[in-house]
Amino acid sequence: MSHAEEGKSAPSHSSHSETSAGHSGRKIRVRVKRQDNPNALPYWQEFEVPYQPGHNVLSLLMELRKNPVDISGKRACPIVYDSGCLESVCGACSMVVNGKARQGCTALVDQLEQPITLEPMNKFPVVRDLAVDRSRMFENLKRVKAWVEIDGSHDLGPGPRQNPAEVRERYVMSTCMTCGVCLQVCPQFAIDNNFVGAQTINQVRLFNSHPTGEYQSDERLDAVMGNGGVEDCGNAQNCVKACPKSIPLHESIASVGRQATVRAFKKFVGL
Amino acid sequence: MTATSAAEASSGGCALSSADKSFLLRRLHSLTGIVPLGGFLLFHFFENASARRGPEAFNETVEKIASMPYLMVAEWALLLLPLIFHSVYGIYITRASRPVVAQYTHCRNIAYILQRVSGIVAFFYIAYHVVSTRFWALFVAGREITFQDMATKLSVPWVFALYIVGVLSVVYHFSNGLWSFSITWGLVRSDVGQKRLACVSMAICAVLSVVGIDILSAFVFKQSILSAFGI
Ligand code: HEM
Ligand code: SF4
Ligand code: FES
Repeated sequence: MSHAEEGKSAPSHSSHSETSAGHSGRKIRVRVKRQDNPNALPYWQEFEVPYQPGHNVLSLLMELRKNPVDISGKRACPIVYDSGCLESVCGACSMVVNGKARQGCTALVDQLEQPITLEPMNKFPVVRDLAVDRSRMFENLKRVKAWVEIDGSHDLGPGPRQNPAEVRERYVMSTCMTCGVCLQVCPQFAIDNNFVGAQTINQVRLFNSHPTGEYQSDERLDAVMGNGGVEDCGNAQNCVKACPKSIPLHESIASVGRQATVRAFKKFVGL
Repeated sequence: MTATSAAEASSGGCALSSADKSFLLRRLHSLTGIVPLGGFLLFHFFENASARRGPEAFNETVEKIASMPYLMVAEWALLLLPLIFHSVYGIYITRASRPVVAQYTHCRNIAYILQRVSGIVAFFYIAYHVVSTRFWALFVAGREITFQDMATKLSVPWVFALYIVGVLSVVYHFSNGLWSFSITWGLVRSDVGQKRLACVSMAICAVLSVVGIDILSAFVFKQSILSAFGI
């Protein structure tokens, strides 16, 4: 029986007296893959937290911090994890929950099979426990100039008028929170290669389709036509299935693929 | 290599810098999968389908092709070389992949894994097939291969099974490759377009699979399976 069903059939979680007859109150069981520092070997630790309705994985981790004792009663170090917004807009809390890469803050405990297993994303270097170093994504954003250059020594005037339909299309792409989930699930993206992955390619499409950002499109394309660029995509399309922002990453990759095709042809014939 | 734009200069890129090579190689890999390899696959099915009309028709087709002009150049430079390149680079690509299976069982991910598995199977099958037919004809027999040669080979059950597995692998690999080729080069971009193309490519896969098995059956049985049904 899944935990979600259990939650529905037993709404009497608060009345401890009822359950005290044979066993203590309901607990949430969680297994955490821990790593003390970037070079240490990982190990598993199991915890129990008193059940409360409405927990998500981050609030569960916060609860654990109050009394970090594992199931054998041994005192443990508080679990380290990254978080920011707690509402799925900053992307900091990405982790692997029950085998699936997602945000800890939107992973509702009542919907999770127990014991809940928490692992750091293994496509990024582990800093400690569940916190990983996502700087590779930021480096790639710099590499492709994922911004609109509006600074000048003089007033550049107002930007061009924009088609609202295109603005809407770009809006979706712009919701990327650099969470790294699309890269964690990508079979072509590895910790020891230099593929840029869906996240960066989507930003190339975003800024190349912006009427002012477009001025740097050749530079962006050159950056993703180098080693580890868009050509390394193998079209497994796990990224688009996993993206918490429902960004059409497969369309972004095909778009940038087309732009790269045109750019390569133009360079070849010397245009 | 004149008129390098400021953009290119600032990123240190020239048309053939080492950074660009992976792009060119990858696109060349993709292209060779369609032309010449995919094109040859279709031609190969077409020529071999003459086996359905019996031994004489097949042998005649073989002779006709053997007398084609520039055959040597075409075979070695336009076929074997691209095949070796696509295979070797394909194995390199496959080795670099870290498939994610457990939690992602949607069909595109499965297709991605099958593309690699079928590529490897195709590699061994094609190697065996080319050596035991074309190389055998050129270097051992000193004559063209005949219907009877193929019929004898395919009458051995494990060889027949190997051919079926090999042909199905190549057919899947080519059909799904059409799909991923179209996305790689950006011929198809939208979600609906990609979905429709996936249906088309699987339809192509189904048709070519039937044709492939039908041709094989023509060598082994007196009549190909489909022609027994009047097709
Ligand atoms: C009859 C022989 C073959 C044909 C017609 C063929 C055709 C194709 C086509 C059309 C593609 C799609 C290219 C793209 O995604 O852009 C492809 C991809 C691929 N082929 Fe082949 N191929 C053949 C043999 C092989 C062999 C022997 C291997 C060796 C393992 C191989 C490995 C691959 C791999 C790994 C890919 C995926 C590339 C990627 O997605 O980035 N292929 N092939
Ligand atoms: S594209 Fe989606 S999955 Fe990838 S980093 Fe951005 S928000 Fe996360
Ligand atoms: S804490 Fe910001 S996305 Fe989860």
